[in-house]
Parts: sequence; C-alpha cells; structure tokens
Amino acid sequence: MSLAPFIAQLRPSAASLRALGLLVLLLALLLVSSGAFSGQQLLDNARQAAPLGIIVLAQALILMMGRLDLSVGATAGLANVVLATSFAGDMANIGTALALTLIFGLAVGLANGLLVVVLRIPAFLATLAMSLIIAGGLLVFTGGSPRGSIPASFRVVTEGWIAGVLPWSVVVWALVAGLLSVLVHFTMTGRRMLLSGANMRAARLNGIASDRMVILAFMLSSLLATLGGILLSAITGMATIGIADSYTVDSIAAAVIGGALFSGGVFLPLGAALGALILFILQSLLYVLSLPPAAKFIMQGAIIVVALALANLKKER
Amino acid sequence: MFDGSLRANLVLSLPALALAALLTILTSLLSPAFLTEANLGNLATRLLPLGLVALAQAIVLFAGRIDLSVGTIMSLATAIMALGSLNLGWAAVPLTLVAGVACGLFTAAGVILLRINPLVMSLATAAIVKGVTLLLLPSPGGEVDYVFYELVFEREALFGPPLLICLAAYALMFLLLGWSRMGRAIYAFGSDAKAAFANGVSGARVDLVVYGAAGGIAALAGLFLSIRILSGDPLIGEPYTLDSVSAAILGGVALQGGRGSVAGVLFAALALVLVNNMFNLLGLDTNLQAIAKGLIFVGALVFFMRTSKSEA
Repeated sequence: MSLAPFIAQLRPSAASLRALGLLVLLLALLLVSSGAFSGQQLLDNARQAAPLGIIVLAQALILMMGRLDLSVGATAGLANVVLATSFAGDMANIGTALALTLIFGLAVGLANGLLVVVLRIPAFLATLAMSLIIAGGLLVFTGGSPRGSIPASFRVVTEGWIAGVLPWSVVVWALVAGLLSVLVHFTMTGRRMLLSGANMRAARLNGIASDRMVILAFMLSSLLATLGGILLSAITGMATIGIADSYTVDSIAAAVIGGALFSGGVFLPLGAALGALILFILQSLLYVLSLPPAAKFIMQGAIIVVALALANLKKER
Repeated sequence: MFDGSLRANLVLSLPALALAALLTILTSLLSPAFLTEANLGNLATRLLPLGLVALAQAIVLFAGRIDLSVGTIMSLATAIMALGSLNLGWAAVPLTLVAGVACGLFTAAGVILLRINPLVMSLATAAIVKGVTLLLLPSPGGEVDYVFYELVFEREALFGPPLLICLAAYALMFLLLGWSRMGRAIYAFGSDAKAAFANGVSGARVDLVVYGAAGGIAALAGLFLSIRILSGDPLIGEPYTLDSVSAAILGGVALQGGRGSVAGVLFAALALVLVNNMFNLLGLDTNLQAIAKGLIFVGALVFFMRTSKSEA
C-alpha cells in the first residue's frame, strides 16, 4: 500500500490557500496600520478565537453533508449553562460537569439527526426548531438568571499558555482539527460520511448506510459545538443566557471564507480554521475602530454574500 | 370556481382550521376569560403582525423558496417607524414599506445575479438588516405617533380594524395568487421550475416578485407591531421568522413549493395566536411557550411531510 494518495489528501486545497492569503493580507494591513503586530499577538488572537474555531469545524462537517446546522450557537450556549451550573465554582466537580455537558451535547445532536433522518425534516428547519427549544428550555430551567461559575483552575484551558509560548486552547483547537481531518480522510467511516454528503443517492446505491452517517455527523457537530461552548465558558468564567447565539451565523460566514460549499462533499479543516481566525481578527478590528456592534452583523452578511458570489463566479469560468 | 388545484390546496388547509377550532373550544372551556370582548380584541391585535408575516413567508414558499429575513425586516420597520413617525408623519408609512421591499429585492438580487442559495442568501440579508436596524436604533426606544394607535388599536373588539386589515390582506393575496398571471406563475414555478420556464415563466421575475412582496408585507407586519407597542425594538421581530415558517407549514404550504393555500396559513396563524393566548390565560410559564412552539413546528412538519409522501 502506497502512502502517496494519503499524503495527497493532506495537501491544502486552493480554497484553504486563498484563505491563508487573505489572513496574511489582513495581518500585513494590521502591521502597517498599528506598526506593532507580533507573533505573540497572533497567538493571543488564536487563543480567543478557539471557541469559534471549533464551532466552525462543527458547521463545516455539516456543510460537508450538504446540510446546515442552525443550532450550533444554541448548543454552545447550552453547554455554557450546563457546565457552569454543574461546576458550581468547585473544581472537584470536574468529572460530573464535563460528563453532563457532553451528554447534553450528544443528546442535542442525536435529536437533530433523528429529526432529519427518521422524520425527514429539512436539516436547517429541524436545527432552527431545536435552537428555539434549547433557548426556551434554558429560560425555563434557569428562570432567566443562570447560576454557577467555572473554577479558576479549569479556566487555565483558555487563559493558560504552555511554557508561556503556546496557549492551551490553540492546542485543543489544532488537535480537534487534526482528529477531524484524520477521521474524514483516513477512516472508512469518514470516507462514507464524505461520500454521503457528496451524493446521498450514489452513496446509498453503493451500500453505504447514509442515514446513519447523517446522524453521526449531527452528533459530532453538536459535540464540537459543546466543546466550543466549554472553551467559551472557560474564557468568560460564568453562565450567560444566549452568549453563543451569534456563533451560528458566524460559523457559516467563517466556513464559507474557508471554502466550504453548500452543495456538500467538501471538508477543509485548514480553511475552516483560517476562516475562523480571519473572522475573529476582523471582528476585533471593528472593536478597535470603535464601530458600533451593529457593524458586526453587517459584516457577517456581507462576508457570506461576497464569499459565495466569488465561489460561484469561479465555478462558471 | 373551486375546482382542480384550488380545491386540492384548500383541502390542505383543513387540518389548520380543525386545530384552530379545537384550540378555541378547549381554551373557552378551560378559561372563562377567553370569550370576553377584551380578550377577543387582544387575539385580533396579536393575529395582525403574525398573520401578515406568515402571509409573507407563504408567498415565498409557494415559489419553492424560503425567506429567513422576514423577522429582521419587521424589526427594521419598527425602528423606522419609531424614529420617523413623529417628524415625518404619514410619510413614515411608505418609507417603511419601501425599506421592506428593498430588503426583499436585495435577497432576490443575490439569488438571481450571484446565484447564491436562496436560504443562505436570506440568512445573509437577515444579518445585514439586523446590523442596519441596530445602527438606526441600538436599543428599544423611540416613539410612534399615538394618532396611528388611535386609528388601528384603540377600539378593543374582535371585529375591529386589526382583524379587518388582516382579512383584507389575505383576501387580496388569495385573489392575486389564484387568478392573476403572476400568481399562477408563482405556483407553477414552485411546482416545477423547469416546466414553468418551458412555458414562459421567468424565474428571475418570480424571485423578484415573491421576495419583494414578502419584504413589503413583513415591513407592514412590523409597522403594525410598532404601532401596538408605540415604539421601536431592534430585536423584536426575530422570533417571528420561525413563527412565520411554522404557520405556513401548519397551514398546509409545502416546503417544496407549489402547494397550499393562504386560507390555511390564516387558520394556522390563528392557531399559533390561540396557543399563546391559552398559555397566558392559564398562567403557564411564558418560557414554556418557546418549547411548545418548537414542538408544534416539528409536529406540523412531520404531519405534512407524511401526507405528501403517501400521495406521491
């Protein structure tokens, strides 16, 4: 067995390279305008962008299946509340807190998958309804003011740097992206998922249990969104209702910057990571320029339109 | 007059009618406050914005498209009214409606010119409109001229202006969709875009009309909402997006397009308002409503997807 085809799989795609170019351009602009943009600062940006980055991977995985997950933001918010409540500020509860949070995440994913596969509800509507149910459930459960907090010793996950050089959250992010890459490109299950996303009918005719692959993808997506929510909780240290709501559209915008297509069958973890980083830096730029928060939403929409328009233009050429 | 596809589409609206009737009976048995004049007036007041935005969504769905920006367009409309109604007077009304139509045309332009997936394009429009609304009005506030309130909502009665406006909008759309050239083109395009094109229907024109009309009607819904609360709120419209899809599906409109009738949508919007009213009258946790709405939505999707499959 030759390794060459596997190595070929790892070669970054044109879309990822374009995203990389965009990131370099953005950094050069920052360097020119502020005169002081260091590698340290870039890593610090990456540290804070990690929750978004992991949620973008979740969205990219569902986009690979030719579907859309509009519940990633709500799921990350759910993780935030469950984690803070079960932690209750005490590091001794770490086992139950993490287990409970992940179980909730998996349950959301399983429900999404069953709604889509068994009840045949279009994914974007099933997940939209799911986000409404989660938001309502959180309000009922917490009465609008969630309790609990994240202990300081757990917040090291996002606040700490390994030997003062590399932030922990960047390591987690890279690890997740790497594992997903391996899953999609090097395991049979991953190949089956990718093929189901590219062409459901053809996959089914070739004996792939595509329905199971869709459920698996939704469970993975919710699990990743939960992980993003856990990292986000480590940054904020407390529970806030609706804290992750804007991540849903953010994740779509970042994924399309990274070359994701709505037709499915494409998974570009490097592009997704770069897209998340670009979006995060753009958003902090808006903050630095003291533009009103409204500008963030306009940018979200504009990015989606421009990125998809460019992708379509290229296809026609 | 009621034959062929029209009858088939009216049949699709019967489940919503049955649900609305059932909820009416149930709530009136459970709560003596239900059949009071004040509560019925309140029902009509709440039906107006939801009914209009559901109508907007239904028009887009008939063409096999979807518009996830209608809620944010409603918010934008409340912001424009809250900022403009005192100094512009009546001119604020056409301004609001034109803004809504412009939002819809923006979505259509992305779909037609840039070939962006309609669902995603409407999400992008929603983000942009939300940003613009927050620029205009960062937090709830402003003031809507009381003159408008007097005109529409002052008299609390079932058969007051809110119900009549809602019914008039539905009647107009029922006629336009059923008997105008464009209306039939929308249904044809939704049933089978290729066949419609072969028969001389311009897909681009259908997109422009449905998204433009939906934007305008959503703005009208927001306009009445701002009159009811006498102010603007940059986020008030968001829950209406899912509600609008929910009402349309519950009313028998097919997501694939080309099937369903506005009559069913009206009954479904009424049913959703009744659910809300029941929660309020019985003193249930208002947050449970969000969960109930989500479940109704899933239920409606399951119910109608099943029936359409068995026919196929």
